[in-house]
Parts: sequence; structure tokens; C-alpha cells
Amino acid sequence: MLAAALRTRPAGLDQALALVDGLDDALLHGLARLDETRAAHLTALAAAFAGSPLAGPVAEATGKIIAGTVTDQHLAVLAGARSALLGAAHDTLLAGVDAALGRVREPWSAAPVPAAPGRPLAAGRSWLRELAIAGWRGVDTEVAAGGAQAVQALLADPSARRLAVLLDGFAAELRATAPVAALTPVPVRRWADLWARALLLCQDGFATTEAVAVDGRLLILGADLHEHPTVFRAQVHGLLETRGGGVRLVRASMAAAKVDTITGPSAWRMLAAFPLLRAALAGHRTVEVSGMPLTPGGDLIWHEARAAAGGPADPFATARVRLGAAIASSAPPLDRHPVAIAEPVLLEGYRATADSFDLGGTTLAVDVSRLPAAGPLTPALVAASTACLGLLRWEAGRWSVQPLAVQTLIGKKAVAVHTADWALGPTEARAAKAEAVAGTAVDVLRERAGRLLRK
Amino acid sequence: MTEDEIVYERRSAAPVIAPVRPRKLAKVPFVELAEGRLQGVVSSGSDASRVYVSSITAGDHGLSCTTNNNRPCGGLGPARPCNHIGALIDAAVAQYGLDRVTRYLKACPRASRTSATPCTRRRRRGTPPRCSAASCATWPIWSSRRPPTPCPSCSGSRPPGR
Repeated sequence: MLAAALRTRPAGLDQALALVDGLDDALLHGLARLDETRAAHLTALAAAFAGSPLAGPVAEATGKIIAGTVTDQHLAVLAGARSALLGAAHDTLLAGVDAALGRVREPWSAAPVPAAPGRPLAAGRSWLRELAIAGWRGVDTEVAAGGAQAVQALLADPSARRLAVLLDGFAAELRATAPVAALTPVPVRRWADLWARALLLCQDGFATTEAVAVDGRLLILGADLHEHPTVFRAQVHGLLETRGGGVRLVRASMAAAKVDTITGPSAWRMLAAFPLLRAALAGHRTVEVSGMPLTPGGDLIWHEARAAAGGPADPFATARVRLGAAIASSAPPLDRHPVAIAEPVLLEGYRATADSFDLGGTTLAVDVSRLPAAGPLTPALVAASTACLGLLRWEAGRWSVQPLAVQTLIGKKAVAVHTADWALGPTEARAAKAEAVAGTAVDVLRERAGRLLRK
Repeated sequence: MTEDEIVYERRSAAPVIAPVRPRKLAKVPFVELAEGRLQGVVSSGSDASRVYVSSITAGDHGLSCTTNNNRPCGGLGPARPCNHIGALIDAAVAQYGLDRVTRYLKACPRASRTSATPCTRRRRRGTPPRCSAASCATWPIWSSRRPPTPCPSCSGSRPPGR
């Protein structure tokens, strides 16, 4: 069933992505220098939206931009149109997988809550406009550094943290690659994604949703570890058993700021504020939660004080018994993007090769580039695995699986290896020794930073 | 499923920044390329409680080095970088790689000055001769094929290098 769903290519997907590519190409060269080809891309985009609620705004925005007027309003419409196209691609891809897995997904029904006014968004908008006008090819050191002030102002406001971290990471990528004119290849789709998402979050009226408090038992499936130079995050995928007997697919995240010198297993040391969740990950235990806020998109907003350690639970047993009947949440509007698809799946009975699983005639690629440096899971273990708990992802036209845990044979002994096994420090002797050496980085930095204070 | 090669331009999760390389932190605990400068914190060689805040601006290569109490570094002269600046460059190259550091500072190491990639900047008159000793802390990235010349920063006190 799953194999067939992964093989089929939904109708209209290629056309939608072609429109997105056209817009991305215009952003590569800059909206100030639209030639005939790029102008045609924008016209095609406007034509595709004819008959939709966005028809009027998109036609006006593309017309004005081709004529040479680029305002914040027009750019917001472009970003919205791009997100709508990718949202449709996301929905159709996910619907195919849901049907194959027999997964029930709750439709999106959350009421929008207006965002708090008074956030310092204008600086971010003006930098994003500057980027769009210059195009990625026109980004030099000065343009790349232009976002710094906006980021500083946003970081000071906790309610704007999501946008601040996004802009910070985006600006860091531009700074690291500036001047972009000499760069090949340019990550065109990625930067357009980041630009569009940031621009939508920069709109004053961008609505949020409200979380509701939930009680129950969290059964952990695995942890997806994200790292960029200044942030480390462990996103835990799990099943929430509520008192009424329902089982929901949820995620819980813990994140911490760091400096780029701290990498690998040492990054776990930065998550010192989450001892309970880390212990649950390392020890494969359940967590009892009470009054924990759950967003309509299925994200638990983690508060250690509202959690208590539970009994042991094997993630593979959890997946075999409960994953099939778990109810999934719909993605919030802004997260409807193919790259945000991360569906927990349990794969068994495949033939593993170095970089793919053969699911009886269909080859499913294994995304080894997403295996984290902070965990014990290696490509070799995945290639020798007999069962895999992973996240199904879609990227650049193909499906792949990102392993979160595998069952494999080491010698003649069956073992399970999980990405978050080292949440409390490496369990393997050699890695523990290496981490002890590298981990002093955190202590050295703390001690030296203390010396910076004036006496 | 089509077996097309994954195109970098069409990837939303394309990797852009290479992870930094691990390095020893005791001498230079912190270094970054930010705000138009290569800047960082350098431990004092003599006093454990003192740190220096050193920086080099991108483009015009202005040097600055002061202690945490805002006293100027004694080793930094108008045409002479101090050892802290040298250690800072060493650490930056170890962490980010030579290419990224020189690109950010708009500098080019002498080795890369070929006719294919001409350097746009000329050396200022009055700058001291560069040291060819690999162990020299001040000019470690400027290697020359010529035999070692006296280096203002490491003459006498440092070994002559490789």
C-alpha cells in the first residue's frame, strides 16, 4: 500500500512546482531587474490564480512589480501566493500517504487569534523587501548584514521569537555565502522558502492559534535533532494517550541557544533546562503530562513542571501496537509546505542497502544526511537494519525516510539504536571519551565569559 | 518513483553553512565573523584572569585589541599587530577555514595571488615583512616560498618553524 503511494505522482504537482520555480527564479535575479522571461513567470503565476480568492491581489501585485513598483503589500501577496501553491502540494502529497497508511487526520478547525500588536516588524519587512529587490545574486556583505538590527529588536521580544530565530538563521546563511554573485549553486528554493515564511510572519495582522491544556501519557517514538550554528533543538515525536482513550500523534520540542563551537553530542548539554524529557529519551520511558498546552497543529508546548516520569516503554513496541490507530493533526496554515512533511512510520520486512530500503519493488531513499551528529545512529547501522522507525519526508520530487531508530544485529545480538540515546551523554565508551574532551568547551566558554565582566 | 538526481537548487532543506570544525578553546575561547569584523576573545598569555577583546575590520583591516577593562593592548602598534590578533586569525582559520575568513575580510593570502584570481587590494606601504614560519602566531596564513625573513612578532622568542 505504502509502496504504491510513494510511486504515484499526484496530478498537478509538477505544474504547481513549476510556477513556484518561476517565482523563485525571479527572486534569484531580483525584482528590480525583471527581464522578459521572469516577467512571463510572474504573469503565469497570476494566470494560475484566476478564479481563486487570491486572483485580484495576485494580478495587481504581479502587474505592478513587472511595471517596476515593489511595495511591501505586493511582496506579501507574492509570498502568500507561493505559500498557497506549496500548501496545495503539501496537502495532496500528505493525502496520498494518509490513505496508504490508513491514518486519520483531524481537519484544521482552530479559530484564528489576532496577534498582539506593537511588535517591531517593520524593520524585518524592509530588509526582506531590500532582498527581493536585489535578488539573491545581488546580495553582498552589506545587504546580508542589513538584517542584524531587525533581528536584535525581534530577539528582545519573546512573542516574536519564532520570526527572530528564522531571520537570524536566514541572515547567517546570506552572510556566510556573501557575495552571492560568485556562488554556485545557489539554494534558490530554500532561500525563497525562508523569505516567504519570514515575510508572512512579519505581517502585523498575522493570526496565531490558541493552545488547549491536555492530560495523559506521552509515549515517545523518537527524536528528530535539528542544529544550526546558534540553535540546537530536539523535536520529540510521540503518541499522547488521553484519559478518554484516544491516541494522538504529537510533537514536543526542547531548544536552546548555543554558539557554533559547540557541536556533536556536547550540544545536549545546552538542554540543561529539560532534565525530565532528556531522561525519558535516554531511558526509553513514558512521560505523564497534566495541563500541558497542545497547539491545534499537534505540538505540545513543553513545561517540565507539568510532566512526571512514567514507566519504561519501547518505542518499537509503541509503534507496532498504537501508531496504526493514532489520530494525526493537520498542519497549521504556515506549515503547509512539502518540506514540513514528517510522518512517523514503522518500516519492516525491507531489504536495506547503503542508501535505500527496498520495499518489495519500490525503492525508498534513506536520508542519511539527516542523521544527527549528536546521536549514535550511523549510515552503517541503518544499512544493516531489519526494522526502522523513521519520518517520511518529501524533498525535491522524491520520498525518503529519515531514520529515528533502527533494530539491527551487532554480532549476533539484536539491538535497537535511537537518535536520542545520548540525551544524557554518550553511552558508548569511545564517544563518551571524545565528548568529555569536546564537552569541556561548554565549561571553558562559561569560565572565560565570566572574565569579560569589568572589575 | 523517478530516479532523478536531487537538484540542489530545488531542495528546501539544502545545506548552506558547513558545520564549523572543532578547535581548542583555551587560548581563543570565542571567535566570530560578525558586524563587519573578525572579532573574538583572546586569553592573556600571562594573567589567567585577563582576556583581550580583539578585532579586525573587513575591507580596511583596521586592528583593535583591548583588555576587558578597556585598556589598550601594549603589543598593538600602529603598523604592528599584536600576538592576540595573530591568535585570533589562527583560531578563525581553524574554525571557519581559510577561504571563508579571507572572503569575509576581503583579504587574499599571497599563495592565491595568481593571474586568474588577482587580488584587488594592494599591501599598504610600511606594513612589516610577513613571517614564513608556520609556528608564527602573527602572520600564519601568509606563507611565502622565499626563505624566512625576520618577523617582528616572533623574532628571538619563537622557534624558526618548519
